Amino acid sequence: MEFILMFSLLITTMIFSIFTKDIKKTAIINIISSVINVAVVIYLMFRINSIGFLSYMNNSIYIDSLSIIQMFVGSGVTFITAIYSYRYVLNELRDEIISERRARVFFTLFNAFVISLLIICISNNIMGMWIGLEGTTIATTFLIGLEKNKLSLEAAWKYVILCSIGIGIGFIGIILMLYSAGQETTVLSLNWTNLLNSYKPINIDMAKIAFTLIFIGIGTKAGFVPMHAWFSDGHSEAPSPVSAMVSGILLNIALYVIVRFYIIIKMVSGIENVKYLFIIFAMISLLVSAFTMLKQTNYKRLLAFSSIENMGIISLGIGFGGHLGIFGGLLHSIIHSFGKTLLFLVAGNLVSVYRTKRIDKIHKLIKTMPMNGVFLILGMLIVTGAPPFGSFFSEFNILMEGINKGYYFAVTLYALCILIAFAALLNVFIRMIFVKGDEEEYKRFDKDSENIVPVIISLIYVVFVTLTFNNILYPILSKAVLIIGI
Amino acid sequence: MLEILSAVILISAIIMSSLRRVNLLIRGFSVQSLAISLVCFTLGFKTGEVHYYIIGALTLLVKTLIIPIVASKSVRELKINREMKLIIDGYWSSILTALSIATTYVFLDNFNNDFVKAGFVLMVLGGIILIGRKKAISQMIGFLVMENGLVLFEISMIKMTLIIEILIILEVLMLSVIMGVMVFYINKAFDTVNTDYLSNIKE
Repeated sequence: MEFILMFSLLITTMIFSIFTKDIKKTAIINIISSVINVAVVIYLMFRINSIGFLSYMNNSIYIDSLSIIQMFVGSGVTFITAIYSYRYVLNELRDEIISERRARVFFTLFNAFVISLLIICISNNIMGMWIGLEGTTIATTFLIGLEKNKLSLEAAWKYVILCSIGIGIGFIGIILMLYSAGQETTVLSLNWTNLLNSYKPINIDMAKIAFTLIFIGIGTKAGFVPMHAWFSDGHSEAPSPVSAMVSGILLNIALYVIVRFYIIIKMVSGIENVKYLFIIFAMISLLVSAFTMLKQTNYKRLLAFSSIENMGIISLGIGFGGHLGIFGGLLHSIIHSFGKTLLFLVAGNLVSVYRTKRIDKIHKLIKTMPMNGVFLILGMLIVTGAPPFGSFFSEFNILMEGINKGYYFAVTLYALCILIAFAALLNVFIRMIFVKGDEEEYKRFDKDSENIVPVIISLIYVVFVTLTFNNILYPILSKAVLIIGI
Repeated sequence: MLEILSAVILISAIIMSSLRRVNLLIRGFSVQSLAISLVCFTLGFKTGEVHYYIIGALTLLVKTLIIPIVASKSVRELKINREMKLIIDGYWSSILTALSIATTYVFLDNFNNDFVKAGFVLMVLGGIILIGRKKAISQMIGFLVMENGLVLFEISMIKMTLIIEILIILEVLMLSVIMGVMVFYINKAFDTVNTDYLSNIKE
């Protein structure tokens, strides 16, 4: 029972951070517990690779390849952000941007967030997944509004209102879905594995409506476009480690929950067309985010829109189906998580030096902060899918699948949008890194290399996934593709 | 008994849709929650299942007592009397609520359960209050009304295990507590709870 170890570690850290006034100690313990979590997840990956799936406690805990991928990403991003927040929180404390009490709240909620993510990943009960999602809303509201100034409170209020309505709509969807299978009279188990085998809706129309409600409701948390209003605001105002975690883990996890329901629904004959929901929402997301990225003036907001665009790519892959499409979607979700974590952490370094998020206030980074400048370019290449990195292969796989299946319109739009996104990011980052401003001379800041270790670790993760997705990670990824179903 | 209670829920929905005074809105919500907790107790008495009692007790404790008391206290401290310049005014929101009741009862005619329909009406009403009001505290009440609708859905449509039901109720309650705290902070930072002022984040 590795989970008991993980949960007890997280809960201990949480309680420790409530009662200890020494923030330094809390941050170190936070790092240690996240390292152990990474180790446990890697051990679990090896076990799942050999047995296929694990189930405990009367099948209420169930892990297969699909969920272990999310746990791998989750533990990795948590580990990186835990290292980052050590320096980040201490610096913020020193500069008196947050009080000591707020710093304690930060670490408590950080662990609460990880606990709810873990609940979503390991739960076999579909309501358990819903509870975990709601838990993430509870944990991240105050993380987004951590600085308690006007802007962050506004972002947090939007976040809590929009996400709780979305989750509520998702709840109605889940209830309708169960109701359509005649669960009013009999008490069936809510386990995902049982539903996969036994879900037969009496009323097909109701099942369709139910899945649409689930998609729209939980899609609010995944950041699909008509429901994305919380997303860009929240990211531009949240502390950088929180942005990295929300962008790197939460979006993937929300999409993961939708996919779990999709797997059940697509087995039913008569509603195979639900895949068009993925394709249409992906196309809207791609189009809106790509064109919005062209005129951003705030670099954290720009990164948030880039996340929306990447979620569009992932769901397009899932919507196209086929081995290549789904494989590409899964691979892209992993690479994007680590790449976006890298970018948000670099953005956090820039904010801590310049104290501004405006693009036109930052010039000649290559002179002032050379290391961060280089990583900014590398991160941009990762999230836009440039060739040396795995994201290129995932985007290319999705493109190939779309052409194979004959979705020519969607493929054209997709290619156009990733080009525009690439141009937008390149334009902004070139301006920030190489172009001269009004200043006479540029000196290197001491803070440049201060918090660079977590950034390097996320690059290592990206390189690792890029090198291994075709050999070591391939069995797990292809098993996950089979679970989603070609 | 159950019919009377569902009538009380619907009537409270109709009245709440046109109220401008935040205080009265809170009281209407309190009455509505009382009716819902009585529904839970009645169902529990009829079926003899424990989890109805637990949901009923939680609703009674938190939604009829704690949240209304805390909310009306903060209304008094913040000196909010009434909503000015609603986005959807009382007249139109009454009409929308009435329309939603009519359509719900026509379209969901084959559900032989009044609470599903009442739950749907409450969801719509909660949405109207959330969209149409400007004060953060009335938006919170709108969310809570929606959540009442969720509780009605949940107790009448499917049966779940006890622990899951309690966890759902507890989480939703925690969310409303968080919203309450947020209202407090917003008032501290902006000196108002009018969400018109929450528009500083620009491109």
